[in-house]
Amino acid sequence: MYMKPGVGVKDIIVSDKLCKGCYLCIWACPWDVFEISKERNWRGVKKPVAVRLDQCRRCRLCEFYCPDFAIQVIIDEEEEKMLKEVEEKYEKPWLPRVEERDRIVKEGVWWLED
Amino acid sequence: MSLEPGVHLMQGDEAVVEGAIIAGCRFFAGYPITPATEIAERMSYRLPQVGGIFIQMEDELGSILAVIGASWGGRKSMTATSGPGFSLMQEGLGYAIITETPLVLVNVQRGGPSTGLVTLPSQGDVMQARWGSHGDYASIVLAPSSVQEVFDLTIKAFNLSETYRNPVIILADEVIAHVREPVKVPPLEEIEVVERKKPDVPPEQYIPYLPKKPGEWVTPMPAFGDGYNVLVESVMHDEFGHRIGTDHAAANRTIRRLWYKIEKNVDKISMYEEYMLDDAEVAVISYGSSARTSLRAVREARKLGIKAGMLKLITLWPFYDKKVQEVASQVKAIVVPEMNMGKMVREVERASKGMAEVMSLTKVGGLLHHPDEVLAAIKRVAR
Repeated sequence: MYMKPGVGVKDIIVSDKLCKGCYLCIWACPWDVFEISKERNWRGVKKPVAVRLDQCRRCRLCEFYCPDFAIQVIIDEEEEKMLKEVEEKYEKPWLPRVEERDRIVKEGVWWLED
Repeated sequence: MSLEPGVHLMQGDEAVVEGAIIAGCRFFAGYPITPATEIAERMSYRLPQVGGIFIQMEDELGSILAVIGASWGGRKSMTATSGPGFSLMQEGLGYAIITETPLVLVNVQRGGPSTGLVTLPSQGDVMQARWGSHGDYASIVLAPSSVQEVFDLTIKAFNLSETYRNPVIILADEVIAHVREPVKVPPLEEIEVVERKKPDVPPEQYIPYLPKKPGEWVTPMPAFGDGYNVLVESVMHDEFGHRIGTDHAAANRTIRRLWYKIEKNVDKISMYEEYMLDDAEVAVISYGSSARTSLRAVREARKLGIKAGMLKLITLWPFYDKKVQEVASQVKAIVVPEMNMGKMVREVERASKGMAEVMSLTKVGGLLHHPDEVLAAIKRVAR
């Protein structure tokens, strides 16, 4: 679910006050989400902008790499909750649930007795 | 077409190929190495004739992994190598054991260590065949001592590997591989061939590593593409095939099953031959090609009036403690001739529990024991 591009991410905010334009986020992003803006902001920095948000997999590497805590990945919590439910229900339909698995193992394993 | 019933003059290496084809082997991946080259060579034109695939891999590491892949593809597969290649295959062998992949590995032993004595026989790999890969596992190792036995044991090896879902190693040596002897091929309908069991439940009910009922040690094995979800992976797994890196209880269950499925069926797996053991006072316990010269020595000892007998081990591993104990309780002394610095003699000593004097007769350097050497040893312990 976390590998689906563009799902569950609302926005990636880059702070005007904190970003100094080192572009570590651009280097770190495996999905090439950022691009350097053409204009300088009031601090004279060409900020990175998340232009390809549909490619974001929410790995948050940009957030972790930023030395100035300038990046914030905004997650859509409602969508995430829904995705989790869907995953539990449908992603691995052939697997019994945990309690069921424990029961099967308890009843089925016979070779440890002696 | 497989070989026609009747008597054929064959090399040991050729007998491996013909036995494998009769057993249903349809995939071979290997890398030529003296003295196992003839196996790959004959396979390369015999397999296409019967609709099989032969592939010469880049090395032995690739060979065994290709064989594992083919086995999961649903074909009976095998590879053949000698000492140095066998060392390389150990990692893949461990992989086959934890994924419970049936395959047959023929190791035509030559003198070691390392490249060693390329064209000369040895029996130095008997311990490596049992303990070579890391971790706790049990293995099935068969040692033929004639070309006829090579043929029979190759078929048997495929049957065992399909029954127990475990790699089976055939430990031949250079003498057996290159000697030409008549091989009697029985009518095909008389040869027992075990086919792989496929799961008979729908995919959602299939549990990959949980045997259905007590006494059944392995589960049926689906092939890739059959629609069953099985994780074939080298990390420790639980009964459902899930990776469990830290679940000690599940790992305990899995490792114990891998061990017990062989070691608890030792009565069914073990094969041996007895010669004149009924009233023997001195027993020779041997295997492989050193059993050939030992038998001659035992016969000559009988002519001299020494009550000698021989136990030839055909299954080396799992070691048949029960039979060796029985022999040790009957006789005064046991001689263990082998073409190494004394490896199986440790097992014989352990199993005989001090009931008989055990003498090791070692021979290294690439020569078989001369019957006179074994006879001299028999005379010494018979005194």
